[in-house]
Amino acid sequence: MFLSRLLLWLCYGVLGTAGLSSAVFAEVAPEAEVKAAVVFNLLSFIQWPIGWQPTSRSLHLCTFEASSIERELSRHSGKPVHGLFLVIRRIAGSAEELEQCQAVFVESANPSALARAAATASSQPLLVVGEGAWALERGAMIGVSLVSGRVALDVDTVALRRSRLVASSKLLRLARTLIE
Amino acid sequence: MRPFIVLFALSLASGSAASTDGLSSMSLEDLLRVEVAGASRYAQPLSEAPSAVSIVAAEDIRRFGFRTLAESLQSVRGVYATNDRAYSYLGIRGFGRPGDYNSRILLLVDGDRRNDTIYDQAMVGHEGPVEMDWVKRVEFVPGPSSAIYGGNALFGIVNAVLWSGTDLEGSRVTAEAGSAGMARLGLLAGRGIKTGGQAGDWTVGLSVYRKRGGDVHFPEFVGVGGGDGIARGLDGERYAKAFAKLNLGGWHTSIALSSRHKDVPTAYFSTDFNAPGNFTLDQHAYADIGHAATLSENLTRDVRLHVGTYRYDGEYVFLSSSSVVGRDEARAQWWGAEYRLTWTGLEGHKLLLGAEAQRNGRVDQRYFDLSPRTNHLDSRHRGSSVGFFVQDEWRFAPRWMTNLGLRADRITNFGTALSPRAALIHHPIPEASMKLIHGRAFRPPNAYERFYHDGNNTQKPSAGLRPERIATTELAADMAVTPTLRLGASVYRYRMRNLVEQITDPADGLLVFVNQSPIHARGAELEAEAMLTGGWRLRGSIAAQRTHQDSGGEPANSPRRLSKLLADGPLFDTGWAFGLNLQSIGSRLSANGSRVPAHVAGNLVLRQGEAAKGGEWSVGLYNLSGRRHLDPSSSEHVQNALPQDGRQIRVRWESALQ
Repeated sequence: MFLSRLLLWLCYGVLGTAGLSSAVFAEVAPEAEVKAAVVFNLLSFIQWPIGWQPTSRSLHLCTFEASSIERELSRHSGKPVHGLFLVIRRIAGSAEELEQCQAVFVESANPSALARAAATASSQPLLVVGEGAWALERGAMIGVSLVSGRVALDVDTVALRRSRLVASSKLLRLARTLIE
Repeated sequence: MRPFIVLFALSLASGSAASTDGLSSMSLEDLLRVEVAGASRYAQPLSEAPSAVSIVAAEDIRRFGFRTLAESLQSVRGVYATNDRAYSYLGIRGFGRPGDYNSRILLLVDGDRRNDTIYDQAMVGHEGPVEMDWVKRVEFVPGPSSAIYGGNALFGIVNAVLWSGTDLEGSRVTAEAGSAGMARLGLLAGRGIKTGGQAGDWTVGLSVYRKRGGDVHFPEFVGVGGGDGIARGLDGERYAKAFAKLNLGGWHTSIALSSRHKDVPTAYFSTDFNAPGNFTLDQHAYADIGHAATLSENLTRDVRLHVGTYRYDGEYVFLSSSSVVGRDEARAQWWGAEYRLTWTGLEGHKLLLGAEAQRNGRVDQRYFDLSPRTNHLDSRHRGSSVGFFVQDEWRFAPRWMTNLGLRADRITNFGTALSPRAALIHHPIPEASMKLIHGRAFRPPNAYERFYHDGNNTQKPSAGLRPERIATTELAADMAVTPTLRLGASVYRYRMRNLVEQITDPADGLLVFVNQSPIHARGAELEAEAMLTGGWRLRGSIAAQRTHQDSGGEPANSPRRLSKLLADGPLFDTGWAFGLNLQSIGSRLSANGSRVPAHVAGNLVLRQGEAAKGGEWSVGLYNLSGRRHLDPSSSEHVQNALPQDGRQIRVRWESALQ
């Protein structure tokens, strides 16, 4: 058993290095599409506080900058999440704008937006999703990053609780890094 | 034999490109198993470097109308830019040695080194291989980063991240016109690719620029040849740049070309004043190909081969003094390979192992008189370097992380250099973070410093130069105090040994490069960003530093105070937005010891807030006051300080096509 695993590993290494096999996994898709699909999907695994209602029939996922991920996210707009319609909205980041958001997605390029979104989340339920391996260190509750060519999730449940949000146990199971 | 069969079956199947519809019907669990296409999946973004990284985002480049990397970096705390009407230079935290050709700064484009192998120059003005329109964001990492990148990364790294096809999904055409007969045309285009089992994207950029150039007044030259001290029509500049990149499957390849010609009006190196024919020409060509692969669930591998050439031509007119025109020619060619493994098999750790090798096949410098042809310098060298590095990023407790790195470099003639770096990062609450960083870096003297001379007319060869070394310690904190107010601060201490600097040897009166006595610097930076009502945003920073040399005195071009103020937002209900950018820089010494006064400079850019049909217009006013500020000059100038551009206007039109 050990030998066959070792052989398999060696083969991956040799073939991978020779460039013969760039795709040993079943599905291949552009980074922005996968990340956007993951962000859209994980909204369903977050519970906003009971009695807390958005003013309209929509759930606002706000972004700060034009990016390929934002464009892919907007393909999911109008889809139902928790019985509300998803709206993707670009904001400059003022306090009034942030008050209208139930979730924000912050590109890795914008760490200052992450810190300000985190400060907003201490006074209102706001899901803060950040891109990049260091998203949690910069104020995100959920980090969406690339590890070994696939999307990985980092989850900070303490930060989620502070904003009165609850992540489902399934999401926590899927997390690469979990702060509890 | 089973593993082999499984493996080959998988290789042949080679995966199927999932459509967006396919992805949105997938469960989260399945999405986390989808392999991401493209090379970026393995690159560690510089924004994740263990340092107080500053980022100039795409929106900021538009808001403030930054025209070069140098201009964009001038908005970053602790950074200042100078210009000697030939090249742009960066000063960082009080280190901005006049005439050092930015050799202590590492310039990366999409993570790949762009310093040449003769002057080690990080070209951040029009002379560089990057066009601002291609730049999605500029990342600046202050402090030494030799632990990953090897030589040159002493004072900081500048990384220009270019737009990619998936960001663009179409093309952008730009046209600009401005003061001093400036005109520029640009094209940037790109798209995502999905073919068969593969996904990726392509991007191309083209740009041409021409500036007739105005008259420049140098008071030092009043009366020279009975003239009025004005260099007339000798400040022209033109360039052409192109790049293309392709990512497909695990493969990535890119090519970049640039050529810039600049007339130099300053009469440097004792050339004739107000005489045409003094110019510099800088040409770069780069190409690379790489492949990234997932070797196992926790192991990825990136390999890259690259080649580069750099060509410099310069002519110096001495017709009135010695009836000759001198010509400098520098030619460099290099090629190399990089190999990186990233392993995430141990929980909480991310381990990076890498090796780099580079061969400098051609490092040639010539200096001769054109007519009659007289050779003064014909220096031909070769060299090579090998580097190995390891880095571990470890989340050892909730909200605590360390980053430890070590690199060993072996360079022809300079033995082995070790560059360690250690960082401790803590974020007690989500909106705050603290970093303690210690790092060491080195820079071997470059070919220009070691081999250049002009036949002992004014400059003699510099023998026995030792590599420069720097050790720094920095404490940085960042916090969003309220949702609309973010504060950042850092304090640092730098110690630099063996600084290579050009001096005049008192024994024979010739210029020569020598290692200087140690330099110490201490400083602090404070930064604030506030969102105001009405969509207005205010950012400001103050940097204070003190630098002194063991041999006594204050180094040149080392301002003790730097302040920046940036404001932007919509212009009420006009549909236009403004970006105001003010810079204040304290007084500095020039290379010959005279004091250059402090100044404040400002730029204002107005642009259409929303892209309208028929394109988006913007108008930029650069140097609002119109006063010609002074930058310290280096030793090849007669002038104590060099006047900068007066007020300039730039009108820009951009149209995006899907």
